[in-house]
Amino acid sequence: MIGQLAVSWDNIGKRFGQTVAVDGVSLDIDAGSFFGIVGPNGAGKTTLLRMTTGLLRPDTGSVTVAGIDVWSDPVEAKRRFGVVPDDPRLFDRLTGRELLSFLGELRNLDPETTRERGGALLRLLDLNDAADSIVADYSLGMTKKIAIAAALLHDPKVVFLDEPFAGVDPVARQVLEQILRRHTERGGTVVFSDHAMDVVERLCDNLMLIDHGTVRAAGNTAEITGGRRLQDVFVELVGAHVTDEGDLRWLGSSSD
Amino acid sequence: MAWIFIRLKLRTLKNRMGTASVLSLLGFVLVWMGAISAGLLAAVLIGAGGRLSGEARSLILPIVFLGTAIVWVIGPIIAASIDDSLDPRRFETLPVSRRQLGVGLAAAGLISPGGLGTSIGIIGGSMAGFTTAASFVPALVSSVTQVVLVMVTARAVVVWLSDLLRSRRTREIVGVVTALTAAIPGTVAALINTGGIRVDVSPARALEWIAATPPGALGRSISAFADGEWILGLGGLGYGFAATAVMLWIYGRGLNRLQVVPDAPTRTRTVRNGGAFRPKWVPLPSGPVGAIAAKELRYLQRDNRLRGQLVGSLVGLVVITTLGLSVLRTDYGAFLAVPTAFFLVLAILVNQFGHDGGAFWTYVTAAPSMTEVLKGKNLAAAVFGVPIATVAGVAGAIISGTPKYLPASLLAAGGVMTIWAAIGNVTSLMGPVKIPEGSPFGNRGMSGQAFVASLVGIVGAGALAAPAVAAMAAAVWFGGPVWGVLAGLGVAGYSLILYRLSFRYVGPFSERRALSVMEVIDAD
Repeated sequence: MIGQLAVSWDNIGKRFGQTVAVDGVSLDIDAGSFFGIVGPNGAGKTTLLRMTTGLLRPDTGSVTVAGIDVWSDPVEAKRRFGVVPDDPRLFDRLTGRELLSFLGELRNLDPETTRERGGALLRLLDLNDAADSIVADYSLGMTKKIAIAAALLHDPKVVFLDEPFAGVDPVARQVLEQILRRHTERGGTVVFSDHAMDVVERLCDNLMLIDHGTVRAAGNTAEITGGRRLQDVFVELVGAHVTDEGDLRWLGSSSD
Repeated sequence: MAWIFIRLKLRTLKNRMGTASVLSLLGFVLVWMGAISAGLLAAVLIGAGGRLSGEARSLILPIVFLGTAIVWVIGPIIAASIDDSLDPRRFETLPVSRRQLGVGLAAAGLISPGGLGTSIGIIGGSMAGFTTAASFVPALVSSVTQVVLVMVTARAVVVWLSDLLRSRRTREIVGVVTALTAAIPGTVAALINTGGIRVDVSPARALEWIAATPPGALGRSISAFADGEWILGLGGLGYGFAATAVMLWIYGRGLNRLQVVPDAPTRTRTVRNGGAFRPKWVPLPSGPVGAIAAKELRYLQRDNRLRGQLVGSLVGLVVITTLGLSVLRTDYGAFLAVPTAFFLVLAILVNQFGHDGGAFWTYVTAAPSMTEVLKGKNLAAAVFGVPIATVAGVAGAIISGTPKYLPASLLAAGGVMTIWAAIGNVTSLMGPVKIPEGSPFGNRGMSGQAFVASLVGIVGAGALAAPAVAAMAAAVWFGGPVWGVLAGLGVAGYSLILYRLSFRYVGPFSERRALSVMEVIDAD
């Protein structure tokens, strides 16, 4: 897989009325990468991921995943990627086990393979005890874990995750990181967005910094940070908003 | 303070209209125009009632006022929600007293199709038919008080029953009770017609009973003012005022409780194998269509929204129809299968994505195509509906004492289901309606586009089913059972052609349309 492109954005853009959410992003991600997308709130991260996974139609440009154009051949593209949105609402009247079985059949996996892979994922993600409880009763962390299991079930070439670690406890986070690392070590690609700079810095070999829908920096993580903390680079590129002390003179005056 | 809430409601409506598509805007206008028209029609009818003389005239307003109050109280319980885009819990951190919040939300509730229609009907009708120059002002006060009373009472009921309304079991019980209640008027009417019970209540006695309720008293006060009976009128108005104040207080207490009492923790439920409306021996195809059908059948078992809807329609249907059959003693009892099929699939197929809600993205990213998804949902409806329609047909045949029309009726029932599936596939994509669960508040009601699609769907299904029903009726009436079977085969063939055509129609645009469906049913 090394040398092949996992994702290729070509001038992809989206506007919502007068607001430019993503402004003609063009970038390639190599297969086998652990790729991070970072940016402030409203930077366009989620919009970019949704356009990449067929959940939002772009206004301009195109995107290919594992060599398949997502918007001209969506069925083939869907076979090659798995996705976990930022708020992964699932068919929560199914149990965890039933959900994985349902998704396996939906993706035309044979029942034996689905059972085998589903069992392994449930075990690894520490969901075995809850496998026969309905997903509606899962905590946020458990919901994220079952959503990630669902995204990995068909062994996709590329996995897209929008803030996968939000609301997940440290132990589960460690397990998720291990699973995703194993995926990239075997040639798979992980693309994820997150606000937690330390996580992105630790996990990602490549990253993209996006602000106001525009790519501000992209490339190898070590080259972008240049030995500094990613947090500092991020603030420097995006620009911290400094408030005039005078604007907030009134704040705290009621506590006299 | 009330004005702030009204402005907020108007602003939310303006923002919704600003971002709506042309079709949604059209539907929005139709819904509001419909409410205004219904209000005006009610006002004219009530006003015309003022021209009656004698005891009948004195009964009109008390009956209308009490009926309106009952509808406003029962409606939100049946729907488990209230058309109130201002969710009271959004105000819980603001320094607003519960009285201010109650008055504000009730006032904002007037800015809704139901609120506006009710106001026009009640106030307009009362003013048009039951006032004199001298009684105009007090009558206006009485009718406005009635509108406020019903709005506040409806909201108080929803607030105090919010925990219950969110419970799965209650929603099912409400479905059954509603269905049985709906059967009561028909049962009573049939018993009266057949002499089973005798009704001997004088209008004056009925008026006393109705006027004992606050809405009834308010209604009677208007007539009393017009007739110069000022003491009686003021007494009724005072009674209505007091009841409104009490309901406002109860509403405020309910709001306060809603804000400070946390939601009950959910209990973990373990589901053993099965748990679906499908006997294990009924096979489903492997692959996406079978997977979706299996999932839908599990949801029929586990989703209280679907179960309540189905149980309610089924119980009501069976009660009303068996009662009708027993009264009519017809040979055509087996045709009970046809309305059963009609109502069952109407509930399931017209809005097939509404229950998927925020999970719909799964289909977009994992299903081979939306047509496969629709086929899976259609299959689930058939696996669920065909046995029930068959049982209904057999039961009808037993009641009428002859099975000779059973084959024809089952073919017709299958045809009706298939026609509904064809129409439902189009309406589900064109006008999905989000079926909210959980909170009974913050429901924005049916979108304009969904209203238009539902209207088109019902008219379209009726128009497409009409020739089949007419052919079947003619064959059975003039030819007997054998001709009925032949006509049934024709209906089945006709419906299959329509079904195939529906996929030819939805196929090309269903993938593109899927994103719009997701936007609607995923919206908060």
